[in-house]
Amino acid sequence: MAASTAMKGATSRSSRLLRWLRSPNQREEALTGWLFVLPAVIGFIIFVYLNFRGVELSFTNWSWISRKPPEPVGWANYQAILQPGSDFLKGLGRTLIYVLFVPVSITISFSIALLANQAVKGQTLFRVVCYLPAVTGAGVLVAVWTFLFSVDGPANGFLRSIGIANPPRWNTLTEWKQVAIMLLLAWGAAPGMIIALAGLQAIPKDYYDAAKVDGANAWQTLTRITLPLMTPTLFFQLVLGVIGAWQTFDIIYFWATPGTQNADVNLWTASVQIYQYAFAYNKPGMGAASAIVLGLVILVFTIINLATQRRWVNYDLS
Amino acid sequence: MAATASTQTRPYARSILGRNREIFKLVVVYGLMILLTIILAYPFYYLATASFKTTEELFRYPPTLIPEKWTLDNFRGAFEVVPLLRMALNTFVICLIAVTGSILSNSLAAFAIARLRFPLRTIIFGAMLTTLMIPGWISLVPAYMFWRDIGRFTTNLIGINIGVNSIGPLVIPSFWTSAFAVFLMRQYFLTIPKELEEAARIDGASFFRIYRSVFLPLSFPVLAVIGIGAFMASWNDVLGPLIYLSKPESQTIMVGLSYFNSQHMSVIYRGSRFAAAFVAAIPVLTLYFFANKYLIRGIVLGGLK
Repeated sequence: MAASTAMKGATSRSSRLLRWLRSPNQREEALTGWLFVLPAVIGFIIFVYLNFRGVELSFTNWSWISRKPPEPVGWANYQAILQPGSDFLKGLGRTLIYVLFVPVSITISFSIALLANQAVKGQTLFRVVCYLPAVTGAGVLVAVWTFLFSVDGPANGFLRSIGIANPPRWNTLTEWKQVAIMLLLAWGAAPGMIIALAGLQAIPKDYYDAAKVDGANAWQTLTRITLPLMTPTLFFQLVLGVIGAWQTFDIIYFWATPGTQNADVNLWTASVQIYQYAFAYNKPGMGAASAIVLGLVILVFTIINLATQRRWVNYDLS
Repeated sequence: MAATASTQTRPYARSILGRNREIFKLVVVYGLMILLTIILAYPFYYLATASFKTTEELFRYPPTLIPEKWTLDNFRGAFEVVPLLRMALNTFVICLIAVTGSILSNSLAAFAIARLRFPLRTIIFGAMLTTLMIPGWISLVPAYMFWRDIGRFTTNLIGINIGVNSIGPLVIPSFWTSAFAVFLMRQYFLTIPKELEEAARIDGASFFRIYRSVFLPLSFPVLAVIGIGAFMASWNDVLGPLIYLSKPESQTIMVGLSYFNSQHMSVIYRGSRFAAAFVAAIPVLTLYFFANKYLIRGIVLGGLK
């Protein structure tokens, strides 16, 4: 009985489809549509294939010079990379610094957006300047930054001029390199103000007029109106920021380039370790396994973020 | 008498106070804006001027604002270490193909998804959006194997390598769309009134004709965003060229910059590293200078969903 209704549903649906395709106009529309999305579909199929292949490889001990097809080794790669003290786990731990820095970046970009939202002249130009750090690649920024923060660089010149006789040795100690990297990230947080500003400008003027009538001061207006209504934007930046921070690669690649005298293992993030396993150590299986673990970590953090949004994100406006 | 005096002075006093407060606020706002502008722009100014300074002047403190003695030695040094102009040209070729590919493929797919009715449309769009949630690192190794096999295949078949050690892996994916760009363009296409295409349809135009003659001319802002974004992403990409290209003369300029990373290189060629970074920054900075309006609008569009 159920089967026959299902059959009937299927036939009537397919016959409707057939009838629809028989009309020349709609047939043309459908064929054009399929033709136009064909590249996207091909890309999607390749994407799915590559990701399944990645999972498969993570269970093999294949190497780049091997002539044989990949041989399964079970969970060996996962055991190796998840062993306490493994390179990958250390890298994951180092990446956590950048994840924890995301709220700092968001605070910086939000503060700049508050400034850029003031009704004064020159804001268009200011916005253009604020986005500058996002325009050039990490290689350019690191080239400038490692000199500004070098033993004889301008930053130390300034520190000496204010009486610090022994300023930090920026390019030798990992801790000081880390500080310089964090300063670069804080500087590079400014472009986020574009999104924060869009959020600020979406808040209706009436709210502020009402607050003024009620005699609210600037601080009250900020904490009771602006911040609550900005939580969806801040949340959006948090989710995307955390996903991006777990994949930090470019800056570290340039600051502590593997295979050069500048290489500093103590700065390598999870993604640099994935790159190293995959291409430098000739352990593609371990690289694939690490990438999957990183993907799962990102998934867990995203789920945690989404789960907490009900507690603090206010969707009254939308 | 006292009462009238107070009613007369109070508004006056308030306006004085109010005006002072306004001026104070203006000074604070402009002060902070100027300070931030200096902080954000200084590294770029430093880069531009340091490229023309002598090594002696580079290490002087306080740093000179304008080079005392302009020199091109740094550029000469940079060209000695890496074939910089060749690399810039390679990167330009990659960028132009990637821009063409992403504008074409993304606008076609977005037009179909926004405007044409065909079976599986929503499923295809939904499937594309799921790709945004999976980090690219998982497909790093398989993608390399894939392109190695493709390269062998096309070399045997037609004698042209489009796989590893060619720009194929860096430009071909831009022809099979990016979910984010399709999403952005679809949002834009949805705002174009349906009456326009209905009128064109009645006049007998094909759907491709509607795409080309109605949608594309009306969509310049969003096409500009996708194009500029694709250019900057390709220009600044490190991981892709690092993996897929090996010879210095076929490398891109960003990987070329990493050749200055080794400690002794960056000390001896301090100034050259600046010169190379300056050459690598100029094209994207110039593009940004002319097109920032579209780019910023696009970020707002994408950020707000």
